[in-house]
Amino acid sequence: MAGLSPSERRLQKELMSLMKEPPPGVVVDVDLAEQNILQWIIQMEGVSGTLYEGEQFQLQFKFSRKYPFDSPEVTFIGANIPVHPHVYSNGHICLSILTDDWSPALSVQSVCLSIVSMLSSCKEKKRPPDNAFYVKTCNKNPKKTKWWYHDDSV
Amino acid sequence: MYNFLDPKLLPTVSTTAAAVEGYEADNLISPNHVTKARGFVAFTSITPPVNINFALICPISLRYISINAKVGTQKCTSIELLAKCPNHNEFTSIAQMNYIEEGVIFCNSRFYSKHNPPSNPRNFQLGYLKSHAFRSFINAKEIQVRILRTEWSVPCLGSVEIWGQISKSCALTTVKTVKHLINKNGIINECDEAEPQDDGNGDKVVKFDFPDDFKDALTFEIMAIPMTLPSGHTVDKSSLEKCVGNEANYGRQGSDPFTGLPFTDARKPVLNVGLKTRIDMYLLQNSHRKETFSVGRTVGVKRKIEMKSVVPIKRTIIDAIQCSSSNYISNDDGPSLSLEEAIAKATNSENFIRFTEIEKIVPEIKNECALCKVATNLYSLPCKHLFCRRCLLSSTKDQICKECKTAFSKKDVNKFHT
Repeated sequence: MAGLSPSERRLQKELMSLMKEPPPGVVVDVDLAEQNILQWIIQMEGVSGTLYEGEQFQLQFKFSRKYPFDSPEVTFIGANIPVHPHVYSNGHICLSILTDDWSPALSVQSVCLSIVSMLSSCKEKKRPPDNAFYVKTCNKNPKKTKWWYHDDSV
Repeated sequence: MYNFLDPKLLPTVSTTAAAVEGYEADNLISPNHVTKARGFVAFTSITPPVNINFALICPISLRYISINAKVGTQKCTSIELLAKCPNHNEFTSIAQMNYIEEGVIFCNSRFYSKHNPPSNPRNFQLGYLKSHAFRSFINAKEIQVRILRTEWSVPCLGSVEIWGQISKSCALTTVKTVKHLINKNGIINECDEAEPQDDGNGDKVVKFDFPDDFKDALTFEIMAIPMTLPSGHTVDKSSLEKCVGNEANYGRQGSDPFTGLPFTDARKPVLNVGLKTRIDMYLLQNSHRKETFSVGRTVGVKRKIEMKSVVPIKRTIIDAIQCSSSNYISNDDGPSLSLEEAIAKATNSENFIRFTEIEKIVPEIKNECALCKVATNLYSLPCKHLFCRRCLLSSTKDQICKECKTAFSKKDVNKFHT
């Protein structure tokens, strides 16, 4: 553990706790995360009883060297990107804790939980209204987007 | 990395297909080499698919599975692999392959490639595990080999090896048990290409670590200046400053990262002096350990001492926190005192704790009688004074040293040898 930078040490610790007691329906790809501790792939299952029941999603977490003081870059990747009013078809997620409301006290686990609960509370499967325009014009990094969190109900 | 079908690791095998006598599926995991070499051959009337299930000692992370598909002239040409995780009821397909060679090696593409294949002495065909099924093969408790097709023959399996590592989700005791089992007969069956980092992690069970409450709640580093937040968590001052800096970037007031409540005069982080003292004490006691070398320490702030100036130096709040540990030694008297005077003053002050005995100046005693100066037949008293036998006898009546007037008893008198 000696040669680790502060962000790596914290991530190592989070990886351990996520492996030992993962939130329901969440599995971290340990091998990939151990090869590169700054980029994780997390497999997520749609919670039963919600619109996403039985679906499988993949989340990608990219951490900067400033983590946990800088928020991770979280996007949906892979073939199945959930159809949700806050998730764009390129995988970007409109979630305030991922940018403005990030706090170093949050963790990968709490971000996963927030996303699970965001998906679970969805009432209607649809893309955000400005999806086509955003996907065409946005930066690759969702953190560069100036998000407008206008809707708290979903 | 181990072969988890090694009989020492107690695998079990089962199949629903009837086998030719002497060629049962149990042969595949038999400790007897002759039996093992026979392999499994299904009864002649059996047609594919045939499932052979292997239950392993613990969940494993698969590296590669080597299958010899030929027994005598019998050969199967298409195999599917399925895996089952603990707590799951169904098998998930993790690989499938049609091949023309005598056997096939299914490997984990994360560790092996065409240019870097697993050890393959018999030139089996190379196949890969489906990478999207990683959930099943990084934590596989049961493996099913399904024979899908044969080449004008009955379903058969020559040998199966399942190489992998103990899954990361296993408890330490499981890891220990497996290691114990594999080394039981003194034969270390560990593969040459096992990564050295794994050995390092496994063996170092007893490791020096700091108590958790010395660690920053955000970064898990040892704290140099512990600040307790209104929420009760304790973080290092550097972490707190980073948080407040980030909040300032958004044009917000500093707030508790755990609750999001902004700091006010009544609700603000405070220096945890007690914890600071405990951390410093712990570091001091463990200062011989390598792990403590890299831990940040607090030192006094470098300040220029102005000669003859009596104007007190203005201290900012930060200043006061940073040098709070060095405050106990004040040099208010300034540099007007000479070094000897300063030392004398310091040693006489009541805050001064002496860790060594003061060296008493013992007058040099010549090896002769204190009274008659005779240098032979001397006796020594507890007060180190020497007397000849005659003088001692004359002074024994009152049992008081004639030189320094201290009392002594007869049994404390010793013969003095030069």
